[in-house]
Amino acid sequence: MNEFLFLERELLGAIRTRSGILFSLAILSLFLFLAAFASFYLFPTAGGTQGAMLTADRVVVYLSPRLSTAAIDDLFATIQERSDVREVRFEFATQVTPTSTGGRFLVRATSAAAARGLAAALRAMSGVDGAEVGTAAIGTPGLALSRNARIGLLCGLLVSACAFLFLTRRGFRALLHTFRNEIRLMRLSGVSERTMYPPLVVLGLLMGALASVVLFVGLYVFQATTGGANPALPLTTPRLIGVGLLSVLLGLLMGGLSGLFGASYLTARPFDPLP
Amino acid sequence: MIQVSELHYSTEDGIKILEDVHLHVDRGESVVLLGPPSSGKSLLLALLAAVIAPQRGQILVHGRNVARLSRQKILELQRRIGFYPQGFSPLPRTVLDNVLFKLRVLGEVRDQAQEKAYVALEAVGMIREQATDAEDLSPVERAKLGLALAVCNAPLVLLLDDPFAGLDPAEQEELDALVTRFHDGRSTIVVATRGPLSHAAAASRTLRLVDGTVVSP
Repeated sequence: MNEFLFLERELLGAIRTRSGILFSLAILSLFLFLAAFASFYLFPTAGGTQGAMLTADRVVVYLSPRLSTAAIDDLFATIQERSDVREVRFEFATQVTPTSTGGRFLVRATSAAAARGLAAALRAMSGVDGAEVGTAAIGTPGLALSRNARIGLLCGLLVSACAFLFLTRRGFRALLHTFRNEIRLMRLSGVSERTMYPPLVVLGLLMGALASVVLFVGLYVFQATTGGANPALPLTTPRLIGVGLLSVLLGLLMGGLSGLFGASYLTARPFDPLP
Repeated sequence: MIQVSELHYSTEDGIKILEDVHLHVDRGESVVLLGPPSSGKSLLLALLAAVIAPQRGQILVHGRNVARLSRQKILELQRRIGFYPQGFSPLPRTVLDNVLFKLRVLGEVRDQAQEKAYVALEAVGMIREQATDAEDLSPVERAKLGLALAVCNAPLVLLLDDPFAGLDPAEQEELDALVTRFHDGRSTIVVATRGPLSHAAAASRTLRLVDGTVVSP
């Protein structure tokens, strides 16, 4: 323990500008990785649960696929003429989803209070399969991830993970290069690999912990500024803590792996006891 | 104390560096190994220090066959050997911190390490330079620091690989006198050098490394 703490301190003291920049960038890329990971769990998917992403003054009206164009026109005119309706928009079935056969109206009521009554009235109309009222507070943006956004996020996950590993590898390389004389001395003096590896792994863990803590704080700030006021976002405290803790664990795992990755560089030729 | 027999060593390209080396150094004996550059002196010392594993032959240090030792036992053996590597370059920190670094990574607690470091620096006459940045030292002072690093852990075997390189004759004499002082009858010392021999070194048993084989002069 004594030599571990000493070596850890020496290793941290050996961080110079180059390795420092590389490690900072690595922490940033790990933070982005964790943020992308958390987004997967925190933001609902746009599409089937679209209604959940609408503000409370909006109603989605699903039309029967058997309706003719003329019947849709009539229905559109009827809804538009209602006193509790401010705006109506039609979306073709193919705009919604290629597998869907009926189109839909996006109706904006005069107020959130009027929306529920409006939805009930619209459900009762002939040719209407269903009506869904939005739940998000008015004035807040509905945050949902489309399928494309999720694919983008997945790519972001992969890119940030690769960037993190690449940057940590380069960072450890730069750090160990600064520390090479110490490593040679240790190897000549009979210091075991078991003494040399843990400080490097712990350095990786520290990076993981730092990125995780920043994410954790960021999630709380996000919840406080957006999520708390937006019922469309399921940012409840238990969910936030769950996702946050999962991200911290993932961050530590990635950090530990990067530490091992960096420690493996000790086997390189420049660190032979007698070059 | 050190017994080498039928030791062979070749490079990956098959170039023979050591061939049928036989060497015997008694406990507490001081031996000078003379040889031209690239004659294999450094390799032989590295083999004796268990830094490089022997390919063929037997090396007994303290009665233990280096080739058959487990990794843990090799580390234990290395801790009992003081090694001065050729072209020694100190760590970029103060003289005292150089010695402290070695002792601390070997598991010594701060106070104990400090005590041993002072003893080692005192032994090589560097106590006054303890706060000096090691990179600012003169060549002979660097060599002395290297010696302090080699002896700070009270080794049973001292292997010095060309500590006189880059020193003028007066400095060589000074350093050699220091090495002779370490030869207190308990430590076994092997000094590899390309020569010429100083007065003090001439008093030690001298061996020559010629064509990869150790011969008496």
